Parts: sequence; C-alpha cells; structure tokens
Amino acid sequence: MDSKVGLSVDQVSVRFGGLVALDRVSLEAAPGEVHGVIGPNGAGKTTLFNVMCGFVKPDSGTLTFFGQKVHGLRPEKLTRMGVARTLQGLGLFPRMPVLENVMIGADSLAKVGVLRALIGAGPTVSEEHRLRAAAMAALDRLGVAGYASKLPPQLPYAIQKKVALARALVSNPRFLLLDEPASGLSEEDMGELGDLILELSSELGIVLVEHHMDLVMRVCSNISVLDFGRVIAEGTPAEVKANPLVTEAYLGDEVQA
Amino acid sequence: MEESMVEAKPEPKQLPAAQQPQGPRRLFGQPLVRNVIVGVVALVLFYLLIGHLSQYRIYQLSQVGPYLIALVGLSVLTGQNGQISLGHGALMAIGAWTLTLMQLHTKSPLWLMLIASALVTMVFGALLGLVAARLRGPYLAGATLALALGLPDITTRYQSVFGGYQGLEVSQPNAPSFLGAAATPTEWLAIIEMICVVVVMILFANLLRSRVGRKFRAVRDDEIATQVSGISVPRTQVLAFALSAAAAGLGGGLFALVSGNVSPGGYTVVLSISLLAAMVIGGTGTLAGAVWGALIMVYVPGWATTLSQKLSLNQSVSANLALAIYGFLLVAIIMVAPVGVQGIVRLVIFKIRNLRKEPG
Repeated sequence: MDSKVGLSVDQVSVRFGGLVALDRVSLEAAPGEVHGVIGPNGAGKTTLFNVMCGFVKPDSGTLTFFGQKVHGLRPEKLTRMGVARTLQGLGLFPRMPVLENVMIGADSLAKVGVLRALIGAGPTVSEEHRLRAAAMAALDRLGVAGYASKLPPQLPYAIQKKVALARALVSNPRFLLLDEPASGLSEEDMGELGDLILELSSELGIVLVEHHMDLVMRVCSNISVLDFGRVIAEGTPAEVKANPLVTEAYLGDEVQA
Repeated sequence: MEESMVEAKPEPKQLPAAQQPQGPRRLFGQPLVRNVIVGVVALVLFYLLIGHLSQYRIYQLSQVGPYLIALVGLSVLTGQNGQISLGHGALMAIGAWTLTLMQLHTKSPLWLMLIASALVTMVFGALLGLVAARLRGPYLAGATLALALGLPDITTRYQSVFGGYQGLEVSQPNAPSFLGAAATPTEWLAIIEMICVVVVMILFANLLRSRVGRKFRAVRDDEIATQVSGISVPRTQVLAFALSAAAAGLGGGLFALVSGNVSPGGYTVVLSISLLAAMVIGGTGTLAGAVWGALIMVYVPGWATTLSQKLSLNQSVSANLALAIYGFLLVAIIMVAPVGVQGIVRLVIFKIRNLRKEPG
C-alpha cells in the first residue's frame, strides 16, 4: 500500500472456539488522523484492539505497520516498533511511584544492560537521569508532574488516567491505541481529553475505542463501526451518523425515518 | 501549546547542565561510589569487631554470611519480581557441591571457586527460570518445591561423585601470609564472607536502583502493563531467577566452607522453607531485611536451645522448641508488621526524624 497508511488491518478473522469474534475485518489508520472504532457491546472492538497490539494472534488476515508485516509479533515487540496503547483498566503499577511508572514506559529508550546495571557507574547514572527527565517531561505535558512521587492508588481516577497516558506517550510512539480513555471521566475532563487527542493527532496516528459518542464525533476523522465481528460501516463522523445500518446496530431495530 | 508542538518528536532529552550535580557531589552521586564507601566502612568495622570476639563467636557469626547472601537473592526474586521459590535450599546445594568438587579435583584459587559456585548455580537458576516464566503462584511454588525435594536424592544416587549420605569433606582455606599469624582460619573465613556480603550487597543495591530493578518491579505489579510498555515479561523473569540463583549459589559455596563438609542432610526442603520464613521475618524485598533474616536464622535456634535448657524441659520438647519459636515469630511478625523487621526499623527511623523536626 502507499506510504500514507500507517497501521493497517487487512481481512483479519479471529475465532474463540466456535465464536467468531472478528470476521474479515479491515481497517486503515494513518498518521495524523484519529480513527474511531465504535459498536455495541460484544461487537469485537477490544478483540480488534488486541490484534492491533499483538495480544491476540489472528487466525487469518494480516497486520502491517508502515508496510511491514507485523502480525504474530509479541506485544512488547510492537510497542518497541512504535505502537503504544493504554489499557481499559488503567494498568498502572500500584506499588511504584508515578515517576517510575512512566519511566517503565520510557524503557525502550534505554540501552544499559544487566552487567553495567550491577556495577552501577558511568552510563547507568547518566541514562537514569535521561529517562527521569523524559518521564518528567511527559508528566509535565499532561499537567500531572506534581504527582511524580505519589503512588497511583493515592490519586484521583482522572489523574491516574493521565499518568497511564503519559506512560504510553513517553516512548514517542508513532501510533497510539486508546482503549476507552473517557470511561470514568467527568464532562469537564472529557472535554480536556478531546483537546489533548486533537493536539496529539498532529504528531502521531491515534486509534480510539470509545463509547462516548460526543467525544468520538468530535475528535475522529474516520470511524469504523463493528457489529457481531464485522465492519458494517465506515466513513467520516457525518457519514456514519447518517448510515441507517449503524442506528439499527445500536438500537436493535430498523428505524423508520 | 505551540511550544509543545514544536518539541513533538524530541531527541533523547538531556538534563540542563545546571541540574547536573558537579564536582565532588557528582562523584558522590554515583551509586557505585557511595555504596563502595559504605561497604569499605562496614568491612573495617567488621574487622575491628572480630578482633574482640572469641573463636566460637566468630564461627557463629560466619554462619550468617551464607544465609545472608542466599536471602538477598531470594528476597529480590520474591519481593521485587513477585516470583516465589521453595527451591533456594537446593540452589545453595548446587553452589556448595560446585565448590567442593572443584576443591577436590582442581587446584583452583578460592576466589575462582566462589565465582564458579555463583555462575554454575546461575545456569541452573536460568533453566529453573525458564520453567518459572510459564508458571504462576502455587504452581511455581510446586515446581520449585520439587527441586528442593529431588535434588538431595541425586547426591545419594550418584555416590561416587557426590559422596552419598556421608557427603564430602571441605577443607577451610588458610589465611594469606600477609596477615601472618594474626588471622586464624576461622577469622579468615569470616573476613572472606564479609567481603562477599559487601560485594553482593553493592551489586544488588545497584541493580535495584537501575532500570533492571524497575523492570523486576513492573513485572511483579502488572504483567500486561509491562508488556504494553515494551518489556518482555518472560525474559525479565528468567533474568531475575538467574541472578537470584547466583546469589544462592555463592551462599551455598560459602556454606560448604563454613560447615567443613557437604551432605544431603544439610540441604533438605527444611532449608528452603527456613530461608523463605527468614525472608518474610526480615522484610521481603529489602536488602536490609536479608540481614535481619540471616541473623535470626543463625541466632534464634541457639537462643531457643539455651532457653529450653534453662526450663529443663524433656528432650523431645526442647528439641522442637527452636522450630516452634521460629514459627511463632513468623506469625507474630506477619500480624504486627507485614513488611518484617525492616518495616519496623523504617517506622522507628521515620518517627525519630519527625520528632526531631517538630521542636525545630
């Protein structure tokens, strides 16, 4: 495909036993755009996400990243290639301070090996300074640098969400997969999140799974609608809104105009 | 907003020059330098201390070192990386036999035998780690328990190599000539151990401060989040197991020297469980906790024996009292201080500091 295409899912099917979770799903997410994935519960959104970040190996179909076939790669490999993601359940390390949480995200920027770490001098120290600075910058960008020394469980949910986002961003990914970033947020926080997503989209490609339609319609340039493991509609927010199949999928019945 | 857009794809960030500590402070800021200074001071103090102790006391003290080093390994594995091992007694045995067989069949210098004890055990630890990376919680405990149960039997099965039930004798090294008649073999062994303890503590302290230690903790806290952050969970687990085993192996090698022999009876599953208990009592995951744990392993049985003799209990009761006290201590500490003795120590230090601040 052309170089514009960044993260591309092509004819991917996933079966769990007899259940078809994804049925020949295709999706193309380009850098500089926000691609939304919506659909009713159980439509396969999370499975699609798990395929895109390497947690689920597709039974058939391909996953390519800037033209390179990457399906079957372990998640940590994909992350190191530049596909970062946030988790639905936050997934912060509860017994590590916020700063260390984010420094773990920056680990792919580090090179010092075990032997040098044991000896602990020279490059180990300067690299720690560097990782620390990168982590602080990421926290600062999201306005939560003040919580660097706190443990995640001590913090309000919205702050924890920002820390998780900082951890995903600190490695300078080329793609960011956001799994329900707005869940549990207030109206005000959600507005802020929308601004942030739009700002980030100028730097990297974003794929967004989200239930809050206001947010999806506001930030997405393209939307794929899943139902029963299939893509039933695709297009701009306006096109998707106008598509009767989408309304049917959400409301379960044909809507008379 | 615009500024943050400009630095969208920053090059690896550097600290501003002003923030980099300069001169002597910068040197002291290096963990290695700081730790070595503390280590050398500890060595000198230890050397002065053993000058005032009887030979028996020094012998008793030199039993602490092997346990301490093995406990450092176990504590890092469990407390920092979240993996449990009931097999560290068996790993100590691997180190002990490695040293003994080298002493028997080669003319290697002591330092080489000790390093070999650590490295050979590290290889076994890495293999165990490969198994461990596929197992969690009780299943991992079961697999490592199998090692602790099975390994001593290998030594009796291949008697000609490992010495069978009788085991093999280990000769204690003589003090080098530059110490002259000043150091008896007992004292020399205590000094060797203290050097090993200091080196191991420094290496592990460095490790835990580094990104490797951070990865250990990340795996302990959340495996999925670790993967998503670009870190291989199984690799980290194998590494933790290998390094932990290296410490256990070195501890085992020293244990063989202190005991003067190796035999399967010294490395039963009881040793593995005692190590685990001592780790919890001392404070899981902390290096200082390993010190407390090792001291307790060596001195509490002795106190218990003395106590039971004073109570003039009959033989069958007094023989088991040490174990009972050990068990009681474990339960009591878990209830009072879930982070062990080291947890209490930290709390006390914290309180004292607060007291000092208040009047000022």
